[in-house]
Amino acid sequence: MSRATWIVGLLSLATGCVDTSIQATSVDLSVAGTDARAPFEGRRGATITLSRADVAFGPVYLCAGYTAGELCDEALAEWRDAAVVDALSAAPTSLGAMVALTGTAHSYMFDYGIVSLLTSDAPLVTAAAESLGPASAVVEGVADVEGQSIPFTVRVRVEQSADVEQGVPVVRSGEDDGFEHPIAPDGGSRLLVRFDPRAWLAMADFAALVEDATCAPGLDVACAGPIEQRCAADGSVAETRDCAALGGACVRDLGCVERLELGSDDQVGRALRIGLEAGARPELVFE
Amino acid sequence: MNARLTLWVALLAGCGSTPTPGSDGGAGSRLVVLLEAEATAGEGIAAGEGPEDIQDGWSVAFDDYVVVIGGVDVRLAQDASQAATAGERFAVDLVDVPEAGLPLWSIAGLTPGRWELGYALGRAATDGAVADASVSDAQLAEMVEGDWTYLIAGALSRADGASCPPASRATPGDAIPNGDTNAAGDPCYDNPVVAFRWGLTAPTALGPCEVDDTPGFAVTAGASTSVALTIHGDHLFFNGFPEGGEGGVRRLAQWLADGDLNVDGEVTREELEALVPADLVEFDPRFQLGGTPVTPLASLWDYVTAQVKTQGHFQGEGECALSAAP
Repeated sequence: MSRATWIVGLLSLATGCVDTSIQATSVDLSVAGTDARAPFEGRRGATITLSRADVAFGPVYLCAGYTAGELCDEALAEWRDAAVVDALSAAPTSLGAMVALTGTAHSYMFDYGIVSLLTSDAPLVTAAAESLGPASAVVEGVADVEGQSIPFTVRVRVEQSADVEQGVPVVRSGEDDGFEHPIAPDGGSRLLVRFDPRAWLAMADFAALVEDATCAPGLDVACAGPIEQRCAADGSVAETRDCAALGGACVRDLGCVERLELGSDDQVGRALRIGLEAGARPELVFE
Repeated sequence: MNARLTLWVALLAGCGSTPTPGSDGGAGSRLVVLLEAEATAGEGIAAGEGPEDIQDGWSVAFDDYVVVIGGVDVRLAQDASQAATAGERFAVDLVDVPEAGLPLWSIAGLTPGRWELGYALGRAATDGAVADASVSDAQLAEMVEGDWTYLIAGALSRADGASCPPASRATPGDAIPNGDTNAAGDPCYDNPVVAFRWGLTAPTALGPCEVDDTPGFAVTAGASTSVALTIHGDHLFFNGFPEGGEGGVRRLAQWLADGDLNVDGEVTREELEALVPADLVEFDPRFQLGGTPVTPLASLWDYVTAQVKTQGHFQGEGECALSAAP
């Protein structure tokens, strides 16, 4: 039984004495991104241009208490599905109706398409997350750093660890969010969740991907800016090639790459995962 | 107030058949509020495989664990207009708090019934904190100067301990790598003791507090009731921000050792401010940071600050909602 449905059921049993001002209602839920295709400044002098920023969003819950998470046993409003959001599109997309009760929501929590369950060690991967890889988010673009242009794709899963708090959504609002919104009767409330993918990459260190180095004993490859150096066993330079001329970039420890594929094991992947979890929150606009 | 509690109160209020507690006046009912420190503050945390241990080989001991705490606020559950406050803020070193707790606040004349309780982790200067006997004049002056909430000093220890700061940020100077690397390929340096001494400003309003879904405390006519505000000492090493039971978390410390960018045996505020969590390979999917009370987590200093904001509990392991900062 869902969190909100549990409350509706309890209210039905208790109608003899309950405050009848609490009513079942709904909240129209929609999502949007931000027109963020223009280059923007990243960390340590990088300039980032995004061409794709897809995120799996949902389920999402609104809670009466100031603290979501385990302290939100029963939600005030919920949408238990998940959908892929094009976070580079500013146009709102309707996701449907949240099942809700009237009252005031003071906190929220949501997942990125991968849901931790109390009843299973394996998380539930929603169809939305499956369609991304499976992943919670896929971001593509070009990072310009130290005179090189690095085309990249970064794909991460964002999921609750059983080592932390199994069964609890990954993102919960905090005291800084100041979330306080009444939920109107008769479906009179609307919630728009707006993502800005630039915030997801605020901690990404693309500058650490490049180097101005030369071969040394023990190295297989070194990058002198865009020039790839393949190293001989004695540490001398065995051969070189210009990655830029090949339409790519010279990346530390890899040499020439046409497109850099990154995941949760890389700094940029960790930055995206942690940015989604604990970076700037999406804007929740309540009407 | 959480959703279940909201509903419970609403149901009780709606029924209207519950007698109003305290209709006999309740003169003489009294609440004594103790400060209780989790044993981790005084005893440290051992290395080991147990659920309460630090599980990556490090142990920690604290020399100072001073916190500014107070602003106890109580409200009658069924009539929030009946409220009382013990507003004093004390600076107390948790290392020295006796096992039985330290009685610091008292509120008299409470109406019998169930009361909700909240309190605050404050700021030494802004809130005019008064030093407990466990805090020296010099410590208080330092805390007032920085308007701190916490003064935490201690050290990580591990016989074969090493710091592996991210190579792109490390400043090891003449230090010689020990030949090992971490999962990211960063060179490691022997560093068996990593000290820290931080003043943290982390004001936090906590409450309402509950234990096993039972809010606050009950007062009976003419009786004295004692409750304890419990400050945990181990959240710095949690791998997430659990808001309910802490049984699932792991305690890990290698990330903090790796924050010693110049590998001089001390990890400073400046070093933590220079790093974001993603810079450290230790912040792999074992860590889940989505419940942070501070967003965005723009540095490791923010991360430390966020963790210590969650250390306020009630009656041991009871939970207190974090509400807007005072």
